[in-house]
Amino acid sequence: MSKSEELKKIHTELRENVPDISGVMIASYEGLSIATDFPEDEAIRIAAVSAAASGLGNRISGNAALGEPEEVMVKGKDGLMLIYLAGEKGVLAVRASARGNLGLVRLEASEAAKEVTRILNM
Amino acid sequence: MKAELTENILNQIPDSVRFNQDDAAALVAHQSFLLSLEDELVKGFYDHLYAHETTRKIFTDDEREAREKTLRDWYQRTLSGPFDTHYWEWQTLVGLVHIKRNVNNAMVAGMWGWLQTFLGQHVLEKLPSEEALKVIKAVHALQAVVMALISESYQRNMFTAVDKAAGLNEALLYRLVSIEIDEMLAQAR
Repeated sequence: MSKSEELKKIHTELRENVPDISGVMIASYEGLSIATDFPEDEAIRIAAVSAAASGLGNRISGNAALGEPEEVMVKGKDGLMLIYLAGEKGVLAVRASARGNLGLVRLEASEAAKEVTRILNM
Repeated sequence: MKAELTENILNQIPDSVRFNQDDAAALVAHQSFLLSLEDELVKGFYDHLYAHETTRKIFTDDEREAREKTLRDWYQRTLSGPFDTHYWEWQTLVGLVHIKRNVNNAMVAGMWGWLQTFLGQHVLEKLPSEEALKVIKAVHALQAVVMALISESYQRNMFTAVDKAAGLNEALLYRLVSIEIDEMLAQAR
């Protein structure tokens, strides 16, 4: 299976396993979309700002002595975005319902981020 | 880092138009005449900066002497040569200092224009026209390279600082900028 197919599989499984997730973005460290189900016009910006959020989260974590960064969360009235560093090369971002099962979303998304890291490092 | 950045910026300018050995020779050949203009040049330069509200705000009240010395040092060093790696790296460093001092590239470009006009008028008045044109050409070429180093190092150091502070790497910043520029262009058309 190619890298692209593996990433697509992670993305599909996340959507199937966690109904509260309404969008998945796997982006490069430079903010380019790699695999996503966000509409194309939204995906360009979401990829870039997800990479930006992970970079900023990384700096906040370092400056505030939080240890290795794991997750950045942006919560709005209608939903939330969880952004995970996928190693040094990528980012995984998921959009979820604000009233959903946040525990399950975080558990599945953080595991998926580890898989994305592994694939991008291959 | 400074050496790498300097080399990278210089490489953006076609060799055929870059400040060259003939330009350096023209400046050094008329060193004593050009140095005789130093006092007037330095005074005129800072008179303009202190007379303009926006540029005056850059300076504190008691630093004119120190700033004038910086310009004198640059002018003397420029007229002495050599135009080596160390000289060009020094100009790159100026871009970094300008960020710290809030000196923007519009201010730098404006003052380079004044400096070119000032030197051009004096050399045309006092030197044989063939020699005057060589000096004018050298000053223009020097301005282009120094302005390139200052303005590019200004921008790239700004990006580096943003990356260090906020974790936005240069490629990502260009990506974010590119997305917004596309939108701005679409709206403008």
